Amino acid sequence: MYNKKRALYGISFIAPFFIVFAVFNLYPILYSLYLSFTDWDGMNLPSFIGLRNYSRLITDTYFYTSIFNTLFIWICSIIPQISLALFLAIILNQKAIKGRDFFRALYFFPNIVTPVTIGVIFSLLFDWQTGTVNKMLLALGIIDGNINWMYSPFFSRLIIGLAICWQWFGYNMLMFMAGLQSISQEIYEAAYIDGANQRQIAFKITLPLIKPVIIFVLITSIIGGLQIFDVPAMFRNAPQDLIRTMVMYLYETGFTRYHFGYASAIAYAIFIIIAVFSLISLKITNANKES
Amino acid sequence: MTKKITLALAIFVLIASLLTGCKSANEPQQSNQAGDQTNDQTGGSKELSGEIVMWTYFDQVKWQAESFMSKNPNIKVNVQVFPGDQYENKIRMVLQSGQNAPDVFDLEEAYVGKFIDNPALADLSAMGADKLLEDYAPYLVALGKDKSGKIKAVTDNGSPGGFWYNRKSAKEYLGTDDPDKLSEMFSSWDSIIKLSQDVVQKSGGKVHLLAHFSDAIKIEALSKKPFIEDSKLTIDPAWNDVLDTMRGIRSKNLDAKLDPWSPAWGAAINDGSVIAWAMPSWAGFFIDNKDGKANGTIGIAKAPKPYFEGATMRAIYDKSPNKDLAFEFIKYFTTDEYQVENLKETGNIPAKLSVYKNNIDTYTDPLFGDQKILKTYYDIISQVPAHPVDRYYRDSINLFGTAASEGITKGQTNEQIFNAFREKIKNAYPEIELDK
Repeated sequence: MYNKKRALYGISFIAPFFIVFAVFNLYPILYSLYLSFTDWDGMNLPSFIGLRNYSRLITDTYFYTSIFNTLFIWICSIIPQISLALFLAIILNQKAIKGRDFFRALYFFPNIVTPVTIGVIFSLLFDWQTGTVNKMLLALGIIDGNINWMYSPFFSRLIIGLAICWQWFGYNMLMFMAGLQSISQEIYEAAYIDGANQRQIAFKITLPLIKPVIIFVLITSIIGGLQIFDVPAMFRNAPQDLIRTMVMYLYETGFTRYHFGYASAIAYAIFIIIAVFSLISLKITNANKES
Repeated sequence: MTKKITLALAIFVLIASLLTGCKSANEPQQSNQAGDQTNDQTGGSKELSGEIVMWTYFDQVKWQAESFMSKNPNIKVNVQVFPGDQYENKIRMVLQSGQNAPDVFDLEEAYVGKFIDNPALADLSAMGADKLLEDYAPYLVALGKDKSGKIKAVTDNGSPGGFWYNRKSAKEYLGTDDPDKLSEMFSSWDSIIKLSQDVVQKSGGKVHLLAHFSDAIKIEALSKKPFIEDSKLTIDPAWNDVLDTMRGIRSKNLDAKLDPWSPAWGAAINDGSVIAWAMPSWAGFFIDNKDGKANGTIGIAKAPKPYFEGATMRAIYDKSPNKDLAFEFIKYFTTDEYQVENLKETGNIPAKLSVYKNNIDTYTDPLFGDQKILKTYYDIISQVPAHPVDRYYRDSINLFGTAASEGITKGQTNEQIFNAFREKIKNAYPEIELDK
């Protein structure tokens, strides 16, 4: 009787979360799965069309282009982002560095700026006619005429990748610093006594010991990076075919064209792609652990 | 036992509060209709009374509702403004579900075609709208008709488009700031290209006649055959000339290469480095006119083709219990009296031809100095081609505009641009049969 009562109290305490989750998460997830098998414009009732949305998706070149764009932008973002974050974390973890707190706050600052603002700032910086970057390069005599950055398949994606990198490197730096601070000082002291130099300490002690943090950062970056939307969406001056990411395509299909059924199918395809990438990274990590 | 009941009640209240959609205070209430309506001399209704809910994306509607209520004190209009691009989605969802739907709502010209054939929009023809629109510019009537020819939405503004120009720069580089002379000079694209060359030459490339070659798309689009009719895509061969014109402007560096609606484009309007921009009549907010410093510095000339851009269309929810009140509200905006008041108070250019005719020699807007802008706009509004709209009409023009702008910038041929456009149509509307 007593246990039953306790259980009831327990259930009543956790119920609010599950109710909210069911209403605002589970129901939309299941409903969008249902919608992915329908043709629905949001005004008439959804009509069931079986797997037609998915068969269309398989042959949709726009979708494949959006996957390519997403991966391109993600790679342009993640490589400098993690390298820079790790480098700065190791530097700022040195006790000898003065003003560490100031630099931590400074590097974290871009993360509190909204992605929309970052998108607009970079879009203006690289504007073809009035952008600061072109004006600067012209003034320095590096270029003869304005470069139309946004019409270059390489530069347009690279610039968006760098904008995202600028936004997130500070956050990842803090993650790495938290990992670094959890390493026992005794290990470093032992390394000094054994005559290890800074490079050896970094590669032989620090990096192996913060590997779990690196994995965490990598996986969250994959999940977040494959869902990029707001920063590229602010680059209105770029041909959308060059910078349209998977989530931008989902938004365009759902909320510009109002093909909610097809947009739901795209959403599930994105979910599968992210799941596959996350599983691959987990697999690689586990394989390394086993070896 | 008491504890159990209390616990069960608490959980019930929690679930109920989460699952129950709060009934909106804005939910339409049934109107009290005391017999047939009769209008007084000011256009107000003495007999109808009650409250209606109005949804819009346009803040000025609050002023419009005040104006209506001052003439119709028995009818209260509860205006709900939803700014931003999610309004279209919101109204779409509410019309589909019917939950808390407004009695009357606005639809932007850019997407009215997507709604016009939906049964959730009341048939205004059956309520007598045709008679109200007898003196309207024909294209504005067509804009609110569904495929069976019934009126489903009504506007109170014409939104005619023309070349707004910087008077000082026009005088310096074109030799005149007279709107009639400039309308003549801007009457063909060949003439515009020639003028553009002169401006670039005289200014040493610092000043341009046009901000972006894509102005040609919006000016020319309404004079071309619609891209999609009867679920088939056709590309009017006349677009070849337009693309050649655009290519000519860009290849000779005759435009300022400023993307429309970009910050740099907005800045050029105010600093005079671009002389003329294709602008709709409602675009005055782009002009930096703090303390009236821009008054008298802008003029309006006709573009090579008459066109319009954007108009606020007003419709009634078919299942509204207050359709009579809502129609009274819509009817008010079609009156001469209101459209004159709207013109004078807000600068919104009217939809009704009689309002132009009656004010053509007297109305001036401080921004345009002593120019009788209704004269210029009347010439435009009375010649804009009338097209029936559907869900494809405006979007297909936009998709073509994107393909053309990107194609010309990339140096593509007309055929490559047409193919890129076909790809865009195929992706956006797979049900459409392509011409190739």
